[in-house]
Amino acid sequence: MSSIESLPTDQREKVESFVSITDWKGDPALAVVLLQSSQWNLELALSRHFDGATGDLNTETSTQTQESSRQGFSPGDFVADDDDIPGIPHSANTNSDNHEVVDTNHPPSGPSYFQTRLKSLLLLPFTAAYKAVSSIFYVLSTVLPFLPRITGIYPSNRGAAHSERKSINPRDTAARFIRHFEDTYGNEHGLEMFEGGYSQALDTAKRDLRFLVVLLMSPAHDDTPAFYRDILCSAQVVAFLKENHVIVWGGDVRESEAFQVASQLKCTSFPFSALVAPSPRSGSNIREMIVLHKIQHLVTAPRWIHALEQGINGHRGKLASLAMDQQERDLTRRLRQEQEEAYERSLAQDRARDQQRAREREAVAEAERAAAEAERHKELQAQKRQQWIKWRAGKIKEKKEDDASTPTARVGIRVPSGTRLNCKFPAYSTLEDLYAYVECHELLNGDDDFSDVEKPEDYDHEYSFELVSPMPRKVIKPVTDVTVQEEPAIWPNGALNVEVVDEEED
Amino acid sequence: MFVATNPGFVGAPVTRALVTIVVCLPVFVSLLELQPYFGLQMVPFITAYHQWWRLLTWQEVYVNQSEIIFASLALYNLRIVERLLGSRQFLSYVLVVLMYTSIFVPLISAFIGILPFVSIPYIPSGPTALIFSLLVQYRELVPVAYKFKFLLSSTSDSVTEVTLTDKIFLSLCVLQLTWTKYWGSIIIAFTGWTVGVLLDLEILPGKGWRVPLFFRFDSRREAERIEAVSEEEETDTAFQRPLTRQIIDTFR
Repeated sequence: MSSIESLPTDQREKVESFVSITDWKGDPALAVVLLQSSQWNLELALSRHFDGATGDLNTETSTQTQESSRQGFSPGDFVADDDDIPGIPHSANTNSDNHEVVDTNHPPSGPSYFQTRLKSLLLLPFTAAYKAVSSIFYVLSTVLPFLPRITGIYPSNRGAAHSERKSINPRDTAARFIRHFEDTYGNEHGLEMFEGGYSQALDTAKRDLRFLVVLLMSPAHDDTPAFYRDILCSAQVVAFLKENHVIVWGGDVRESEAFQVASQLKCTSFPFSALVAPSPRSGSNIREMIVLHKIQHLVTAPRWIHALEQGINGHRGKLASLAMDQQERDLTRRLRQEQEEAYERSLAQDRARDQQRAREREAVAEAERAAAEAERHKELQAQKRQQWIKWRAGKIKEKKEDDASTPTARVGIRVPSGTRLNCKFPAYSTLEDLYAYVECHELLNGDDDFSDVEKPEDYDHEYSFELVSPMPRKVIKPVTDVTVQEEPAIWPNGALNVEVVDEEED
Repeated sequence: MFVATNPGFVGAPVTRALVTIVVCLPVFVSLLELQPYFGLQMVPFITAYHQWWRLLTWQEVYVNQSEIIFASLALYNLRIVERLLGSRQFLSYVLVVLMYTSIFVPLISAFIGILPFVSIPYIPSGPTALIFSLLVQYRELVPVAYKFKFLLSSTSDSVTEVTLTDKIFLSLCVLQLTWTKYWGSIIIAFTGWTVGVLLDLEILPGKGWRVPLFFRFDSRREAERIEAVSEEEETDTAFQRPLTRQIIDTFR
């Protein structure tokens, strides 16, 4: 249908869902009209459809669509598709239910009208037989209500003689009871009833330490209206109940819950009222609900109040003691809670302090350990240094023995002790060799053989002195890539002073 | 027993009277050998002997022990109807039903007698009709406490079961009354039930009628209606019993 395609997306979706929900067999344009007449409210359209309001709708919508097309209400294909819009009432003619309704607006076109009449005339005997049988069955199933349940055939609903009460949840049952009461006797009495199940009402009364009045009504009983009117609607009673903060729970004994309550409260006649209150069980602090007063019958309002008053006044002491108990319990609980909180707090403080201390101790230990480590490292370093010096001395000695042919630099080195070392260095020896010589000079004089001393691993030797040529002052660095030859201060001969560098680390 | 309500006849004086009548009257009747005076057989008592008083007395007394047992059992359980309706309305209902059944049962049996090849059925004595019309009230007023499924047969692929309510027990008990005298009992039972339904639907007039000058049949004084509970009852003991327990309790 072009009319559907021309609709906005959301409306098209609504039409589609409407068609899928209702299993729409007819013209889709009719569905569009139905939805349009429901202001595109899907639920409304559905309920209209299922309530069988389609017939009324046709007259309504046909006028409406005419109107709307007159007003240019739907400027799109709705006006252009002139075939569709007037077609709607005609297509509805196939639906026989709509027939008469449509008749009032549009006289039916000849052949289809007479066809329908003829058909119904031909089918008359069958229809009559069916109607007769279903009527007999209807009467039978009215008299013997269990008949449909046994046979599984339910007569068509003709004003429903009576409907089975569905079991619903206690809250709804209570709400229904209250609504019935207010519908019948007005709601200016101001009586507030508990909206919930009986056990809920009991629990509330028990928790809040309030009195509970249980009302059980048998609607079939002659005294029930009088009870409602004279007692529940009486201002005196309402005021009394309000004053004492009484929870009022009412139930209709046709409901399963209220019926069970009736049998539990040993109720023998209606209308029944009972005063129930929480009470301490002897010898323990468990609360139980007890029945204080039962009023089984219609009495006058003052007597009713008097009876309840007696019950309430007689029990008030116990309730007060329960309240006190509860208060005390609350108090002790709060006290204990506070104590526990304080304890927790101090515990947390202590813990924090302990942790702090532990951290400090750890830090000290860490520092000590680090110091020891450093000490050990230093010792090791010193040891290695000694070893390195020995190894270097060995190397120097080796070298000395090797070369005598190469040109040498003669260098005089003054060490801090005052002695002057005169030595020769081959031209290829590096400046580092000078340093090594100075470092090892004490060992070189001896005859000790260091050739078997290994070079220490993981050790970079640092010289603790500098070689300085005095005039002009120039520091000769212990580098390996500069040979003696290339250093003019000492080639072919020179003099150097040893200046001890202060180790700042110490 | 079959109905969860307070045991005993408290709040049900009319039922107490009915049960007393159903149990005690047959004793006197059998001691005095008066059985032939109850029971309704149109031919010859009405047609030949014109004993019209039989139309009034046939509902008074059971002459069969099993009927007495089941009727008293049923009436005892139907005291819940009196408690729910109130004694005055209950008594009115009983009287109205008795009146209608006294008229209809002979009429129906006479109508059956007119039919060819059927003899006029013997109408056994006893308030069976009353009990059936009370059963209608029971069905109307008392809610279903629980439902259970009764497995009729189960094969590998299909399970046949019926869902029954707790009301089936009392109904079965009452149904026993229809089997004692074959056609007559069935006619009475059907009439009683129909009268009950029609009264309930207010097709037959009489639902609103009350016994005039009702002199407080329950005879309880005003003061006794208000009952201060001396021994304190607990109310919150297991409010809803489990289903199995309920079924077991039914048979206690």
